[in-house]
Amino acid sequence: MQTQFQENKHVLVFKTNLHHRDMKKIEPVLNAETKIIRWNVDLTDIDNVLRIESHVPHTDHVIAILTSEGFLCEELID
Amino acid sequence: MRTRDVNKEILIREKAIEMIVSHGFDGLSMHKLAKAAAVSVATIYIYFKDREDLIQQLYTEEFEKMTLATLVNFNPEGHFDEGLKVQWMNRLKYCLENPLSMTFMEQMKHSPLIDRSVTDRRFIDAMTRFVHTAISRNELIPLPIEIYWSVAFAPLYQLVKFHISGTSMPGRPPFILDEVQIDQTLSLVLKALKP
Repeated sequence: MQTQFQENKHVLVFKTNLHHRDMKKIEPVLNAETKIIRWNVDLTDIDNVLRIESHVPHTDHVIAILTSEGFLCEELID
Repeated sequence: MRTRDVNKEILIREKAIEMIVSHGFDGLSMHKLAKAAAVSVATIYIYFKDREDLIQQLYTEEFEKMTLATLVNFNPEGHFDEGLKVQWMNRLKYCLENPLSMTFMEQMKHSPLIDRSVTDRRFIDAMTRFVHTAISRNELIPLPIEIYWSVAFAPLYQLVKFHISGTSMPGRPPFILDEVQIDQTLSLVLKALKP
């Protein structure tokens, strides 16, 4: 799901299988994405939601990155 | 592209407080919350970064509401007896009008999940000034804050709990708090706090 609050800011929400131990692996990958403003994973909830605030709604790109790192990642649909 | 929907956000907040009050922190999952508020899980994450952010935002907002309600017609420089009466009546009104919020704030009071450094200073500043002014004018004995609070406010909150739950001691009829009882208790409290 993606929502635009203001110009050039989109919130993308994904269901993942990321856990605490995986943070070290994905941190450099997601931090390297210049379009991403900030991101976080809600490790306290069952969907392990990856939430991304981004300049562009590049949902497929994010899924591709996570998948290539070996993780499950699907967009949560509104 | 959609914009923020304020009504949706309010409903999510209300349902989240309801869930925490009836099932505790662990009873709050984004899934159950989404269901209760009739929105998608994704929608909740639009407004809140994660579960901790949700809880922190709820606390901050409820604390602000409580602050505004408590400071109505309250003069921190006024006489201690009058100021405490205003505080009691304002807090009583707030608790009776927002019983869920009161329970929620009680649950939060000692929770490690909450960062209190970001909360509204107006309430604490006003209450600090009130107490210090009263002590300097010899209207109140100086006490460690925990003891002061336990004498000045805990009796009120206990009576409110009896009133809201409708029960008090075993074998007693339902307790209904009225202004006579408030005045009676308040005069005992004031007596205890006088130099």
